[in-house]
Amino acid sequence: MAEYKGIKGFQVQTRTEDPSPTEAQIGDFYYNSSTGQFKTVNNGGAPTGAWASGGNLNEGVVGNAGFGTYTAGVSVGGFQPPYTAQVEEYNGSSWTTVTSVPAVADSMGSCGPQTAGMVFGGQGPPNRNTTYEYDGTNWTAGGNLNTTRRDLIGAGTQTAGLAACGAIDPPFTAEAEQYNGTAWTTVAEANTAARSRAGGGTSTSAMAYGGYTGSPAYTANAETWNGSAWTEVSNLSDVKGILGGGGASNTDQLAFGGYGGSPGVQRYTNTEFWNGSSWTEVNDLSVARSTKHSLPSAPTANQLYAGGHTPPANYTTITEEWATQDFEIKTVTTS
Amino acid sequence: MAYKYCTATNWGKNFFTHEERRQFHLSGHPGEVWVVGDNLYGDQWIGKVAGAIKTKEEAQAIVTGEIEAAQAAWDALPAEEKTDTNPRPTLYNLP
Repeated sequence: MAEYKGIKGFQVQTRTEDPSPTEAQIGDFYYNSSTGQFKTVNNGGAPTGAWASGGNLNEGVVGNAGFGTYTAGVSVGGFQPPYTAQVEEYNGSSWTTVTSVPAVADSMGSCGPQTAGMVFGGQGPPNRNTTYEYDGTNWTAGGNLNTTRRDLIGAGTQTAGLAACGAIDPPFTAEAEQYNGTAWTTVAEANTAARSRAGGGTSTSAMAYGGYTGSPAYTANAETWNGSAWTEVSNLSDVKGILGGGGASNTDQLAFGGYGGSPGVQRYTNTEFWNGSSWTEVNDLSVARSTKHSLPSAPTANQLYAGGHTPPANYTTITEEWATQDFEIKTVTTS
Repeated sequence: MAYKYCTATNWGKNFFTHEERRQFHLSGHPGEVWVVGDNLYGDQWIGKVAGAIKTKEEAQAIVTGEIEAAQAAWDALPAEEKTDTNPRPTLYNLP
């Protein structure tokens, strides 16, 4: 009987245990003699991601804005009810109540890291045009948005920010603005006027997706921003808004949760990854819910989804943490 | 896919981990009902969280009861709070 070595001139590597892979091992094929299985080392990334439970918020909330990272995150304002100015910081394990934002507000746009983030717009009600910058301890007033609105998306940083879409009651808006650390400047409009979209990235490489257009209701529309123009791209797989989402750029986005259908009838656990050309379904949230909380400026390797409406519409404290693996070891099967 | 059903209180961090989510199906529902993939890892998780095993019918009854209570509460709301983002909760079936 011919041996593999005789055909190919070398033997499959045998290991007694799986390695802790490095980039150089991607594509390796080996036999694990302890488990009796052939295995390969593959790239990690979004397909290997999963949601884990995080520490619960101190107060249940919906419509809370988020920024930072999943080990240094922030939840700002929202509706409990009533509308709240409460701010909580996350350290990767638990939430701590910190300095409140200067005004009660729900459905603000947001961006940036925990120690240099900002929130803008939202509703008290009424709708707001205010910007508040956070240094990790205190809040400072920034320049006002040119268009007063709520339920808008944010991207970028405190010195290079982006705001887009939202509700101006009525109607919905597609207007976009860039922030330079002092003032907002109106830039090219998005293609779809909608509120309750999700998105993120930087001020010159961002996305907006999902949302509520009112005609007829929720939308799966998605579009990219390159710093000068918005371009329609492939839709989300679900027609929904009030979802979480964020990522590093217009080629790296994660969309999750949300509320919708057509007309709106359900909340979602679905999570989708955008790689610059298409959306891919990845592992779902554990609890279906809808809120705008997410980390708009954080890469898709790690995201955070805190609070939200859950069936039957509670204001929940639930937090889930998204994390991907750098590498994946897969067992080779014959079926 | 086969499932088991239990009730357990989500205590937050590490109630379920990334590794566990890669090993078995898990979804949370009203009344602290959890639908758990029926495999060894799912069984181990139910043990970890001290889950109280339910039949599918028992789990469904808990979920339905929670939603019906929420429907009654929603019906009592003033009209201005019955918005498009706060619709009447709807009954659904567990997988």
